Amino acid sequence: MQEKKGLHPAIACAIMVVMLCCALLMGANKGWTKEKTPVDTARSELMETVQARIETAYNLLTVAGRYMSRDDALYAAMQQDLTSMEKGKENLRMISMEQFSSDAKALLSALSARPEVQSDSRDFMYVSQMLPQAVEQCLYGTAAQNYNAAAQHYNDRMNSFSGLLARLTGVKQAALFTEE
Amino acid sequence: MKKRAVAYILALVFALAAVPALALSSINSQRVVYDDASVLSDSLEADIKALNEKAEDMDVRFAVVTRHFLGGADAQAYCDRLHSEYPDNGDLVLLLLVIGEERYAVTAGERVLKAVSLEQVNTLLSGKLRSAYLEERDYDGAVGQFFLAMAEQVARAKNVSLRTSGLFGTEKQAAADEEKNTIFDNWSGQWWSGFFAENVDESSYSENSTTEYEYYYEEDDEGFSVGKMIFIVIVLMWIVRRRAKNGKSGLGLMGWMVAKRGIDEAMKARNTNRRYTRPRR
Repeated sequence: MQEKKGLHPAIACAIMVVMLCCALLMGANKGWTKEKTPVDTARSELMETVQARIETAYNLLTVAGRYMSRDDALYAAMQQDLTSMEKGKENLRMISMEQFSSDAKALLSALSARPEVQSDSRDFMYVSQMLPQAVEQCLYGTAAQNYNAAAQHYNDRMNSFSGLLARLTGVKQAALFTEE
Repeated sequence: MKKRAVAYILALVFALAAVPALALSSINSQRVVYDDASVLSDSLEADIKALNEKAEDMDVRFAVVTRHFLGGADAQAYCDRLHSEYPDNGDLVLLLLVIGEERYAVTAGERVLKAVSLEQVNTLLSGKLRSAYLEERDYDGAVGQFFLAMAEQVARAKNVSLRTSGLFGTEKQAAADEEKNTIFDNWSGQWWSGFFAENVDESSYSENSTTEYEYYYEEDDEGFSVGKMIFIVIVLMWIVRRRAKNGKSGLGLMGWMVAKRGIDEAMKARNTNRRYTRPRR
């Protein structure tokens, strides 16, 4: 009776190692993707703040456009801020809060001082009450700090063996939010 | 413990993120005014509701939303999105006024667009809303004029009579018209207008009609008025005199029938302008 031939031990060992590696890589990928959830959540909060700033800039320009030329320095500065914010939304590079704040406030005070704005009750209410409040609201907040803290913590923890495996499978480190 | 805290924070964040979605999905189909910009009066809401009740048979209803700004969003896209959030929106005409941006948009349901084309809607916007909205900033007036014109346009397209007097500040105009009519009636003789007076009972509309639009009218049964009697007596006297001239006496059975038929036809001809049409349900 012929004895049944088994799998060569070396091949079996190699298959086992391959399967083990696959399991490790898959586990690392899954684990670190899950670990990124708080970072993604903080990012979506940050994006809401950024979006609020963009919308406020649009609203400022809408009112300013009724009274100012597009070549006006204050109008042009706000337009540039808006363009910069829209471009930087994806790569998390944004103009500084201080710059946006000073440009917005300068534009609002220039508008408030204009007699034609003062004589228009609706627009005067916008430039003296509603829009300044909107600017203040979108300036203050901890969304950027929270996001950067979560992203930094995640990146630090990724400097480990499992993090290295995760990076091999395409999991990326979190980009930090920067203001220029 | 740490995981639980993270889970709680996540749940809170997702709940906060869901607030704008809830704000849209919580649109109540019965509510006709969402005045976020606080520029519309309470009476406008009552008038829109009254108009919606009157226009119910025409399969059209109206609602208005106001905002100060849209933050760079497209007004028409925003209006379309709000319209889609309304339950059963096929008959809905939704008007969006963006006060601070001086923009407006209208979205009409597919059942409304079968009766009124987009071009007609745009014409009505230009003619009835634009000036009052942008130049006079009479937001109530702009909304009222546009909705009235839109309702009348749908009524014409569906060949339905719509009575809108008293809505959206048209009360004063209606009162002035009434006064003019009264003066005219007094001058021309009150008894004559009473002669043609009649009520139309909408409830007499036949639900089993096989035609899409059914003409109907119904005379009220108030009996003969003094005016009617005088008129009939004059007509009959005239017929009797003519017959007497021809050597015949009395009115005769045929004469009576012809006289009755003639009067009936005269009444119908007078009623033609007051016919009602309603869509088959």
